[in-house]
Parts: sequence; structure tokens; C-alpha cells
Amino acid sequence: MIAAESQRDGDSLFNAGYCLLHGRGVPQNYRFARELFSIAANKFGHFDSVFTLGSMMIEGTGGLRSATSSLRYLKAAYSIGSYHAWIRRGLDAYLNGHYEKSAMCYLRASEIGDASRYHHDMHL
Amino acid sequence: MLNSGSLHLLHEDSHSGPMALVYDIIVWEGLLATRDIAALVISSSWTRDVSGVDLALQLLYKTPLMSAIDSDRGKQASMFCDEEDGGVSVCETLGRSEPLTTRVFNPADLEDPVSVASLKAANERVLNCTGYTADYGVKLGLYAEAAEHGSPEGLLLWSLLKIYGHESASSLCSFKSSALRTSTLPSTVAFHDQRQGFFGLVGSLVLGNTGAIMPLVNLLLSGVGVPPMNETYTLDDIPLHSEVRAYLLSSSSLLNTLRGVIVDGVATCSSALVSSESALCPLDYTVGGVGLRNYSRASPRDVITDLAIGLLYAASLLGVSEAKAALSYRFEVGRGVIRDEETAAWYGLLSAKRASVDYHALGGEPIVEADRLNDDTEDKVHRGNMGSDDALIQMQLIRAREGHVPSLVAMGDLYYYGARGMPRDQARARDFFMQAAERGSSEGQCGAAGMLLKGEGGDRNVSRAVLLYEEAASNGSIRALNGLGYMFFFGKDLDKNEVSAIIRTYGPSWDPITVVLGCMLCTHSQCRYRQKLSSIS
Repeated sequence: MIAAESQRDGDSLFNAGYCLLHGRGVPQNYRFARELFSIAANKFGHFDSVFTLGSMMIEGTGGLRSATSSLRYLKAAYSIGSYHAWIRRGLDAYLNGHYEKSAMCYLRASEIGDASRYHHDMHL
Repeated sequence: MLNSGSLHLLHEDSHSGPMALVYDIIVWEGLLATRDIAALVISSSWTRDVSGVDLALQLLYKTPLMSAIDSDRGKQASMFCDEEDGGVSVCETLGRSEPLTTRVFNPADLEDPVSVASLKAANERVLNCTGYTADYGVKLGLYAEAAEHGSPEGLLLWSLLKIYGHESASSLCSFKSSALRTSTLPSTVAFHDQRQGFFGLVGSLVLGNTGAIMPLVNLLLSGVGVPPMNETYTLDDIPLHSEVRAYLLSSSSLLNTLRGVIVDGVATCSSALVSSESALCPLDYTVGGVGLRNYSRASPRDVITDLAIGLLYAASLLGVSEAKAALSYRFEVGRGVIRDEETAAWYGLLSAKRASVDYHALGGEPIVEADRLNDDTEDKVHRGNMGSDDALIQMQLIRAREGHVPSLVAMGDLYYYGARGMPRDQARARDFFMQAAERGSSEGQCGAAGMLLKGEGGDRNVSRAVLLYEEAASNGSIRALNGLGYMFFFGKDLDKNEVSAIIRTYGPSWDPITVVLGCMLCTHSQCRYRQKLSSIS
């Protein structure tokens, strides 16, 4: 798609990659799909691309299989889960002066990873 | 069923489903050698029926403690008794020196009409978001009443209020309610008691409530509210059913109780909840078939951390995605377990699948804000998080009302995500996007079209979405082109007339698929579709 080619948003790249991955309307091409997902993930922090790319890497689809590289993307993807809300709860509690509560929320969030990571989140 | 992959322990296909759960718990407990487990399997007539799990666990429970280091496979099977960690001595430290009390009651029999009524009354107060100030104690009392009459849910909610106060997920009346965003909430610190909460969670787990696992892990790992493991304690101030209280008090130490609770609790949960995906990392995901080694503990001395990690495994087996994410992180950095990226990636994939579901929940797209506290910003931390109290947002709102297009779009974004302390209100977001769209803003048109397409903040209206996308596309919006491409692709929403209208607009032989994909792959520099699209974008 022309939209994807212009590399100006993540959705276009993902949709094009999706079609290539599943052979919808075009011949299946895993390697090309992985390239497009990679651009969408790294340039735009596009969630679906990040997740799909991570899955492809751990399964070795369309390129080398690598746990180390896949982890980088999977981690960014799983950080977005609903449990992410503990960070915001921690901040809200802090703003309201409920420091004990805030600490508990942050402690819970810290189990999912380094809190500062959320700063950059999908921008990997 | 629970574990569809080949089981790591005996590595045979037949050991999947609920039986895998049993084995996995054995791995985590690490107290039995493989041959003992094999003997148990052979001598029993367990089937894949879920109801067998509880029985199986009880049987295993009563098996005398065997040294896990008397066979090579045993070494692998043991999580706690790794040779490098000191072998026997570690087993002795962690092993059960006495048989644990087996739970004799059936949690389902404990609940009575009083518990159901109290829970309902308490939940109604939460749903209606009424009277936080006066109601907090009443609500707590209602949950306590439900808990005393055997309600696992009531006990869990009571515990969460004790630990997290209003911030607990279950008592949060609604994400959309701005009431929770303001600082007018009374402090509930007077009610807080993490130690009470801790025992409440333990009791709730005994009753088979999976929801208790993650908060319990939270307490164990942070050390907050966790009483000394070898001291006696009373449970007078915890609203427990008498049977549960007797069960919890029957053991000689808290450590023993917790171990018993975890196995019993997980068995109870498993008969109620069966996850469809494989929950533990199978062998073939690990390098050189040393998967079990990865379950060994990195540090042999920390009993409480082990309990918590055991709970994480249990929660993961039961399909709790937060636990999978936590395990992934632990394996990635080697926190409490031996560092292993393969295993980390496995758990990462499982939790990311769930995150993907969360991400695509209608109207529920998560927002990630830079909500970090640090010393530099101590006095500024309120800035940018005050929602409608924020002077800049108020100013933006005024400008939006005057018809300033960038302000309209920005307000739409704020409400769409619930950003910067604003409540998430998608009906308002849609309204702002529509206003911007009417004033010819491509961003507004795309924002409104996306919401119309998905039915966020109001009814779905596909034809209106198409019109908005088209208008934005004609102004060169890439986002709109993609939106149109998407709708062509999943063309079921567009009826023939609408499609032909679009085809008339863009050209007589417009083929959606060609446009969506062909142009990207097309090598003909003179392709007329390509030229047409280039002229648009």
C-alpha cells in the first residue's frame, strides 16, 4: 500500500505486513512481513507490530530464531497489559497523599519490570 | 487443558492437562524424585479429568519426603535441592518435617445465603460509587460479614481494601468516574492493616480464590505485612469462617501453613478454572534440554521468595497473565531464579498474548504516561497530572470551545485516552473530534472516523466513517488512506453502493486488494494506480 510505503504511520505498515504474513491478496512472504513489522515497531512503537514481531522471532518465522531479540519486543508488548494500571494507581495514590498505598502499588508494578522502562515504553 | 505441551518432568505426551499441573507443582515443590512420581502415576488410576487433581495432590501430599538428589533425574526435577545450592541441607531447610494438615472441608459448602446477600450489598455500594467518605467502614463491614459466612470473594475484597484501600482494582468503582481522580477522597490509612490483609488473602486462597494470588505475591516479595514465619499467631481480627480459621491454626508454623494453603488452594482453583493455553515453559524451548535446571533457585536461603515464586508458577498455571509477565521478568534478569532468556521469552510470549487482548478491548486501549516520581520533580509531580484542575488544560478547553481546531483535537485525545489526570470519556472525545472534523481538520476527521468505525463513544456508523476518511484522504492524510484500505479489506461493512461510490470517486477499475497491497509490491513505475495514489498523498 502506498500508505505503508511512505512509512509515515505504524498502522499502514502493520496492515501490509499482516497481509504478507497470511498471504491475503498477495503471495505469502514472511521475510518481507518481518521487515515491515520491524519498521512499524521501531519507528512508530506500533503495538501489534511489536507483538507480532516478537512472536515471529521466538518462533523463527521469516528469519533467525532468537530468544534475546524476541524478548526485547515481547517485553515491550506484555508491559502494556492491564496490570500496567498499577503504575497509574501508584501515582494517583501519591498525588492524593496516600503514600503507603502508593508504595504498595509501585511495589506490585515493579514485579513486572523496571518502572522507568514505562517512560519509553513502546519506543523500545 | 492446562498444559498441552509435553511435560518437562517425564516428557511424555500423556502427561498433559490437569496431570501436568500436578507434576508442575511437584517440580516447584521439588520434594520428590522422578521415580517416586513415576511410581505414583503407575500405581494410580488418574485420568485427565480435572476433578482428579485435588485427589492427586492430596495423595502426593501424604507421601513421605524423599531426597530429591538420589537420582540424576531427581536432581533435575528438584527446584529447591540443587546440588550447587548445597543439596541435602537446602532440602532439610525447606522440606516439610511434619505431615501437613489436609484441608477437610469443601469451600463450596461453606458459603451461605448471608454471605451472598452481604457481598451483593457491598458490591452495590461500589457500583453506585456512593458516599465514599461515610461508606468505607460500612463496606468493609459488609465484606467482613460475607467473609465470615464463607465467601471467598468477600474475603478477598476485604483484604484488598485493607492493603490497597480505594486503589484496589476491585473496589475501583469505575475508571470513568472523575470522583476517583480528585483529591477529595478521604484517607483510609486508619483502616489499613497489611498484616490483616495478608491473612485475609491466605484465607481467600484456602477457599480457592485465584484473585488472591497476585496480591499475596505482592506482600511476600515486598515483605509488607508478612509476619515472622516461625512465630505463632492468632487470627481473631480476621473475618474468617470458623472452618478456615481452624485449618489455618492447625499447623505449627506459618511456613507450613502457607505451603499447605498453596497446594490446597491451587488444587481448588484448578478444579474451578481451566486455562486453555500451556502455562509452563516446555523443554523444547530451552537450549540443550536443560529446561528444568532453570527452575532451580538462584539463591538457596530465601524461603519467602521461594514461596512467592511458587505462587507465581501456580498463578501462571491458572492463567493469570500478570504472573506470566512477572516470571518473564524474573527469568530475564535472574531474580530469584537462574537467568534464562529462552524461558523469559516463553513467559513473555504468553503474557504478551494477553496484553494484546487487553490492548484491543473496545475503548480500553491503554495509555502509557511518563508517571515517574523522582527527587527533581518532587514539587512538580502534580504538574501535568491534575486533570481538569490543570490551568493549561482549562485554557485549552476554553480555546476548544471557541472553535480552535488544534485544541479541539488535543481535547479529543485527552478524553479518548484519559490522559494527564483527565477521566477517560470517549463520548466527549468523539464530540471534540467531530467538531474538529466539521472544521476541516484531517486529524479530527480520522479520529472521529476511527471511533465511528469501532463504535467507541457512541453508535457505529460505517458510512459516516467512510465519508470522513475520504475527506481526510483527499487532503493527503496517510492515516485516512490506511483507514480506507482497512475498510476495503474487511469489506463486509461496506455495502455495494458505498463501494461503487468510492470506486467512482477514485477510478473505474479500482480493485481494493490491488490498492491495499499491490502498489507497495508493484514494480511498474508507470502504474496508474500508483500515480493516482501518489497524487493524493
